[in-house]
Amino acid sequence: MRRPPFLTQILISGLRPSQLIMQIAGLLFSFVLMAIAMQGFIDYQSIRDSSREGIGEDIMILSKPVTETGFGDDDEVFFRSSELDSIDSLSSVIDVYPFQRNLVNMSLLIDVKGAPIRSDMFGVECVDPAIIDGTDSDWSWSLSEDGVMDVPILLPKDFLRLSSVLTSGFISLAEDDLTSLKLKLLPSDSLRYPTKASFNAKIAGYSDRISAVLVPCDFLEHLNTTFAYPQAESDTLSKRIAVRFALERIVELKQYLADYGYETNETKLRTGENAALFRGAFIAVGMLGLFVLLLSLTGVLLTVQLMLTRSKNQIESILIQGVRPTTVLMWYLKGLVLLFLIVSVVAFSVVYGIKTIVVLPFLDGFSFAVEGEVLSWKTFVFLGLVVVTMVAVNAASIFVELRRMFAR
Amino acid sequence: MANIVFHDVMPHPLRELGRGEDTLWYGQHTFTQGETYGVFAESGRGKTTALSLIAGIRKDYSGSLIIQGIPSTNWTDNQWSAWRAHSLSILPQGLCLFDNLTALENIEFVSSRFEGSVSRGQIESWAGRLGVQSLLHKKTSILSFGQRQRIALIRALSKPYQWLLLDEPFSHLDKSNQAIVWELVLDDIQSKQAGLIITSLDADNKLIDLTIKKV
Repeated sequence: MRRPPFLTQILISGLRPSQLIMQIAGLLFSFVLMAIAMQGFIDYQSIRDSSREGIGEDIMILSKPVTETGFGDDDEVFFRSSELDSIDSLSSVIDVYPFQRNLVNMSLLIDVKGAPIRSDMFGVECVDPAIIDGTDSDWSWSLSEDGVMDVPILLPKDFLRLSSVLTSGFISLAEDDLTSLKLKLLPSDSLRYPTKASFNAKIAGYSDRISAVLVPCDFLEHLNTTFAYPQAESDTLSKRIAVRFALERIVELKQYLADYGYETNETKLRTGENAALFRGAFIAVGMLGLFVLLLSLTGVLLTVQLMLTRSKNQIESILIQGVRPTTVLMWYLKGLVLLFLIVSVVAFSVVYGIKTIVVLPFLDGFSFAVEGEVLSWKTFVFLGLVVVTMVAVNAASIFVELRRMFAR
Repeated sequence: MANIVFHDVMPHPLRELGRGEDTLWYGQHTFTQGETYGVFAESGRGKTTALSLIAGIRKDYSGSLIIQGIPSTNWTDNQWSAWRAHSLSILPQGLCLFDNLTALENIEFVSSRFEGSVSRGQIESWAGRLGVQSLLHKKTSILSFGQRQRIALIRALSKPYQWLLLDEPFSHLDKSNQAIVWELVLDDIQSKQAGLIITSLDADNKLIDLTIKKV
């Protein structure tokens, strides 16, 4: 049996052009929003994954609040293991790295062009190398038999400004100058070891992340076991910890810090909030797209129902003349598939244009880059699933309506 | 043979009227392919309903309707579609013409989809016999009901069928046109060895011999 001619002319008589145009516009709008949200989310993931540290995460240093009542009270000064476990259990926290501190007084001697500068208010720490940035050199130290090797130290970048203060302002040091200076680390006199010891040090780099002087943990352990008094229980506890956290979940972490009064760098919190807002914007666009999509789906369903109702007499007449219901169903489905395909192609073109003309040139100024195709295959698959779902729902609706026509 | 058997069939909407012993709604009635039948009654007694039951357009009845030896109660939608497509040709009371098409397009909408349908020349010939040839290329929306009735009849005759169901086909035709239509219908059902069921308000119309069924 051939498909009857004039079927389109008959069934299309139930359509109103203005209504159809509005419906297509709504569909297009929702598809564009969905494609933007999906592609945006994929690009966001791409940026996060491709960045060495990951722009989706950061590290902050937490310390106990300095209070008068906390002075001398171990619980107020040190992080207990239960606290570390509690922080580590937060969904926003990826990992926790306690700092080990020196248990012996330290002095730093700097030979600045023949003028030695000594700082007795000096302490060193060590931490898991996983969070250390700012150096590519070998971050290790060992006590060898043929002498003591230089101790690599990592300084906070602010140390350069601090060094100007230490030298009373009469010497201004550039980063290269400071790196070439001769440094000595001096454990202070103790009752146990009255003889002075000293260690040559070399600056291995400058870190944006830390706010203390870092040394390798092997060296710190040597210091603490060699020059310090026998350790009390609190000597193994940390005063400061580094926390690697997910930027997009900063709100939870921020609330936790506020609840327990931990101190940290406020800039980190603001950066995290910006990242959370960034991610939230994609979710908002996606939700809006989903909402409009549901509206459109409802609209398309209602329009199809309306078309069927308006065309009821025509359809009944067609069926009475011996045309199979599946022929009518296929006519509607072909129309819907064609409509969705056109809308999808236009939506993809719009999103491609937006990304090529607006987004990618805008991102040129940033240190990170969006990797992969302009439009990801995931976006195609996602909208493909949306199309299949919409066609299936409409097909079921039309099928039910056709069955009801002669169901009396 | 595609015979049709009504066995104590009673449409639900007509239950209140009861079963008259001399009507189609009482006992068993067999419609044999190749024969001609008239279903006569006043309005509201179920003439159109009887044709709708045969076409599977309505299914709200009790009793048993057996078509081609098979109880139709459990027929699937596909079986009904195949029955309407290959075995029936219907001229509904409402005609079911599409106003946005011309008369010829309305006819060819049906005739073009079945193997063994009549040719364009045959359609024009029939239109000439019924006096509507000049109207073939006009939209049916501008035709009178009588003209539309004749166009719908040509459409019904243009496809192959085993049963021709005509629902009050003369309601808007004068006597002379009725005679022409009868002659055409008779010629066609004889050539196709088909059965005919025609409904009418007028039981005295004796243009051709009919086995009378009352409802």
